[in-house]
Amino acid sequence: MNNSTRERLFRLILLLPIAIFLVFAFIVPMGMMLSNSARHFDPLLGATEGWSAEYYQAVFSDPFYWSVIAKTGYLSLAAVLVCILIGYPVAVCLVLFQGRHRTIIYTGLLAPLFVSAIVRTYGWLILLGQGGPIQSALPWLGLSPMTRIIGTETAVVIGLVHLFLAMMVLPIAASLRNLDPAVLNAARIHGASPVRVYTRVIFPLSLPGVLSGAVAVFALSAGAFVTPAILGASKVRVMSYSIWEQFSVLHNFGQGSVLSIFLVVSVAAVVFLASSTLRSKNA
Amino acid sequence: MPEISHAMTASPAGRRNRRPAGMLAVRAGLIGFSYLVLVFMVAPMLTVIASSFTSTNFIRFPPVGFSFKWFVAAIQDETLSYTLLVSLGLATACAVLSIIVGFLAACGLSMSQFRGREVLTTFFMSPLMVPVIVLGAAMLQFFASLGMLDTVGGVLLGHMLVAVPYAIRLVGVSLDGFDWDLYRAARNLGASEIVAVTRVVLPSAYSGIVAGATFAFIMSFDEVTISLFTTGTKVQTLPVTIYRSVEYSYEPVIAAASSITVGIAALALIAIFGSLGIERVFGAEETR
Repeated sequence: MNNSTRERLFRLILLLPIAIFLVFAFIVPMGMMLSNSARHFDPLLGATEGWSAEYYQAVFSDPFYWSVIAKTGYLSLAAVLVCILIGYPVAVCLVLFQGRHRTIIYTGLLAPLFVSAIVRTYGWLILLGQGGPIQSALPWLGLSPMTRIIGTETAVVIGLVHLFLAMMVLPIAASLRNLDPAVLNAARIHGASPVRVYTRVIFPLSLPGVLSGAVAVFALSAGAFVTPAILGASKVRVMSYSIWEQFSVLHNFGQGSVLSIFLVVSVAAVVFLASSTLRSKNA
Repeated sequence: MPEISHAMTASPAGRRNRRPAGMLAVRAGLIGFSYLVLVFMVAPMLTVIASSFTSTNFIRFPPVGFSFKWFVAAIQDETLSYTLLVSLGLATACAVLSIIVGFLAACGLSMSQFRGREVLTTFFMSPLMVPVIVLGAAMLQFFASLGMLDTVGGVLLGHMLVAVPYAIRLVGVSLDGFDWDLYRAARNLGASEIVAVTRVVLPSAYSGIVAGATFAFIMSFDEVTISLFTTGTKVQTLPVTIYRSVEYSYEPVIAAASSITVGIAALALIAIFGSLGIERVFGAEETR
C-alpha cells in the first residue's frame, strides 16, 4: 500500500465517527419522520402497513393550520425587520469605532448568546408580565394599565429579536468591513458628500450582509419554540407550537410529522432562494 | 475599518470645516443608539439575577429587600440541584465527545482536497439548518421505537447534534492555515498516524479545540427544545425544569436557579474569551 492510498484510507477513518453519528442521530430520525408522515397510525397497533396521504390532507385542508403558517411567516418577518432597523446602526458602530466602545458593544451583543433561551425568555416574562416595570409604565404611554403584553404578538417579536439580533449584526458588520476603501475614496474624490457616499455606495454594498442576516433571523425565528410558547402564553399559535402540541399533547405523530416537514421545507426554500440571489449578485 | 471611518468622516481639503459638527453628531447618535440596544440585550439577564435576590415570596421586579434565601432554597431543592448536576454532567460529556468527533472530522476535511469535500462539509453542518423543534420531534419518534427516551444516551445524542457542527467549524477554522506536509513529514520520519495527529496536528488546532469544546459545553448546558422531547421523569435537565416551572409558577427559587446557570455561562464565556479573544472566536462566525 503506497502512501497516498494509505492517507486516503486514514481520511476515511477520520470521517467515520461523524458519519456514523449523523446517520444514527440525524438521518434515520428524519427519515423516520418522513415515513411516519405518510402512514396511517392506529392508536393500538401503531404505524400500519402501506402508505396514506391522510395527514397531509388533514393539515392542508384545515384553515386553522393555514392561519398558523401565515402567523409564523408574519412574526418571523416582523422579527427580521426589527432586527435590520436596530441592528444596522450597531453594525456600523462595530466597524466605525475602535477600542473600548467596540469591545463593549461586541461583548453586550454576544455574551447573551451564552445564556439559555429559556433564561432569556424568563427575563422578558418578568419584565413584560403583570406587575412588571413595563406593564407599570403603560399608563405613561396613554395605554390602559390593564393591557396585557404577555400573550401578544408584540411580546413574541420582542423575545425573537432579543434572541437573534446578533445573527443580523455580524453579517452586516462583515459586509461593511469588506468594503474596498478605494471605492469610498473614489467617491469622495469625485466630490460626493458623506451622506451621498453612504446612500449611493456604502449602503448598496452592504445589502448582501443584510440579506444573509435576514435569512438567518427568519429561519431561526420560524423554528423557535421556547420564546413563542412562553411569551405567547399558548395564545400566539405558531408552527413550532403546533408541532409540539401534536407530538407531546395530542400524540398525533402523523400530523406532527407533516407540520415538521412543511416547516423544514419552507425554511430551506427561503434559505435557498436568498443564497442563490446572493450568488447571482456577486457573479 | 480605519479606511472606512476615514472616508466617512474626513472631508477633502478646502471643505474640512464644513461638516465636522454634523459628523460628530452622527457618531454620537450611533454610539448612543448602540448603547441603548445593549441595554435591551442585557436587560432580561439582569432582571432574572436581580429578581433572585428578592426577599418576597413571589417574583418582584424591581426586587423588594435583599436576601440570599432563594439561592439557598434552589440549592436545597432536590429537583433543581439534581437536574443542575445532570446538566453539568451532560454538558461535560457533550463537550468531550463532540470535540473528539469534531476534531477527527475537521482533520479529515482539511488534510487534502478531494471530490465531494464541499458536499460532505454541507452535510456535516446540515443539522443546524433544521429547526430544533423538528430535530426534537424526529428524535422523539426514533428513540421511542428504540426505548431510548428518558435515557442519558438519548438526551446526550440530542445535545451533540447541535454541538458537533460548531466543533467541526471552530476546529476547521484553526486548521485553515495548517500545512499538512508537516503531518506527512512526521509520517515519513516514521511516526504512526496517531502519533503524527496528536503530536503535530493537535497542537496547531489547540485554540479551535478549546473554543469548540467550550461551545459544545454551553450548547448542551443551555439546550432546552430538543431536551423537552428526549427527557422524562428519570433524566431531566435544568433548562427543562426551568421551562416547566416558568409556565406555571412565579417562585423566586426558579429565578435563583436561572441566575446560577447565567453564572456558569459567564464562567465559560470568560474562559473562552480570556484564552482566545472575543474577535477570534466570532471571527469564524462573521466570515463564514
